[in-house]
Order: sequence, then C-alpha cells, then structure tokens
Amino acid sequence: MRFINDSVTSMLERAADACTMRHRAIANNIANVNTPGYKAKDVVFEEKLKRYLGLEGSSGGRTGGRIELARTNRGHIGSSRSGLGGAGLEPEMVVNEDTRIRPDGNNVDIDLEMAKLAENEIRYNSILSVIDRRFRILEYVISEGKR
Amino acid sequence: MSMFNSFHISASGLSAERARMDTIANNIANVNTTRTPDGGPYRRQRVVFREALDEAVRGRFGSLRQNPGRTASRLRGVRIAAIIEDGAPPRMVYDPEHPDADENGYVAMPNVDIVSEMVDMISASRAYEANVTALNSAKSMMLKALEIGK
Repeated sequence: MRFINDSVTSMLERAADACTMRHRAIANNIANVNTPGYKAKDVVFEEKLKRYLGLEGSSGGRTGGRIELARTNRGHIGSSRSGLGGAGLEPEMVVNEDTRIRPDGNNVDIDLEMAKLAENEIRYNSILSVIDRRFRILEYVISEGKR
Repeated sequence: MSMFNSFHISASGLSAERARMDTIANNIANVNTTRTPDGGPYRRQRVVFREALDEAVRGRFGSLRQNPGRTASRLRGVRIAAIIEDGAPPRMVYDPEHPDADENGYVAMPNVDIVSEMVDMISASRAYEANVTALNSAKSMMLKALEIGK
C-alpha cells in the first residue's frame, strides 16, 4: 500500500487547500462587510469531490465510489496529483449572488460568514488530524519494525 | 497557498473600521462646532470603503468577474477610498443671543445627527469584532498545521 504519494493523501492536501482558500474568501467578505457594491465570495470544492466520488446523484458516478489514479500509459508512475487533477478537481473561488442585497449594493450576510468561519476552521483542523494520523501510522510501522 | 495573506486581509478590515470610528468620533465631538478654519459650521465627514485587490496581477488574469477562480491570490481586503464631506445643508437653529447668529437670529449648526452617528458607531464596532474573530481563526488554523507530526 502506498502511503506517502498516493491519491488519498493528495485528496487530503487539496481539501486542506480548499479550506485555506475559503478562509481567505470569508476574511475578505468580513473585511468588506461595509463596502458599497461588494459581492460576497465563496469557494466550492466539497460538492465537486462528492460528485466525483459518486456519493451524490446518479448511480456510482465515474469511479464507483473509489479514488483511482489515472494511468493512460504503461510508463506512467502516477504522481501524487495526476489522478484527481485529470478530473479538474480543484477548489474554485466563486462570487456568491444568492444572499440578500442591501441598499448600498453589498450582499455580505455577516451571520452566515461568522458561521462559515467556525465551520471551516473545524473542517480544516479535522483534515489536518487525518493527515497527522496517516503519518503517525507510517511512523509506527517504521519504528516498530526495528524490534 | 499562504495563510499569511489572511492576516493582512483581516488587518485591513480592522484598520478600515478604526478609521471609520475615528471619523464618527470626530463628528460627535464637533456636533456643536459653529466655527471652522474654512469658515462656517463643521460639516459631517464620512468614509468611503473600496474592495482592495492586488493590482499587479490584473493584466495576466483579467477582470474579477471573468476569472473568479483566479482571484484567491489577489484578495487584499478593504481600503479607504476617500473621506468626504456630507453634502447635506447645515441645521438652522433659532438663537439670536449666539455670537454666530445671522441677521435673522438663526445659527447654522453642523449637519451631524447624534443618533445616526451612534448607530454607525455600533456597526463599526461589531464589524471590528468580526474581523478580530476572523484573524483569530486564521491564527488557530496555522498553529494547528504546525502540530502535524508532533
């Protein structure tokens, strides 16, 4: 089993990047809560990941619920991001038009942003915990193997 | 992707709201000022906010609306675009004994409404707190990342 450079680790890295990018969007929304004409920004990633894994919508999706490395040539080693990169699975920043627009043209909902801030922080911390656990398992395997 | 930019974004929010508080405090302090160096009563001042972007990358990635996906690295929070005077006319108050009364006994008082200044002050104060929370959240996330493998 590949444990360092595999598709699961790269998915975790990408999910953590998505949280970092989302925090910047939220911080920018909060800083611009009183700026006339400003439209709130958000980051989409988790929904794209769910669709890719076939966990939402039609039967099984593209991969039947498993993450596969895309190897279209015999010589492909399968570098850490190739499997997911080919599906265009990057976090993406979008402009959010949904929330209510105030008279000055600003549509930042401060309550929503504060809630997203808390949720995003917890999500980021959880992803980091998972990454940490994976490395600890590896460390355990390496050190216990010496006995 | 660097998290340090998040600190700058939140710090820009803090600065902007503080500047707004200073303006409000100035308006309240001068609510009864009838003489200014330019002559005439004090005129209410207000700040104008503008979203800040890193202009250096504009040419490569096009406008914000066309390429929202590229904007994450360009976000810079908020800037003060200008501090402008409110164009509303001064309040005319009847007070013939006042040294600055005109020939009809009316004094031109500043166009500052204390109640709306207080409301603005509350709004600025809450926005300041929200930016502090965002900054603390960024700091906590970075400290958590440092703990991987410890």
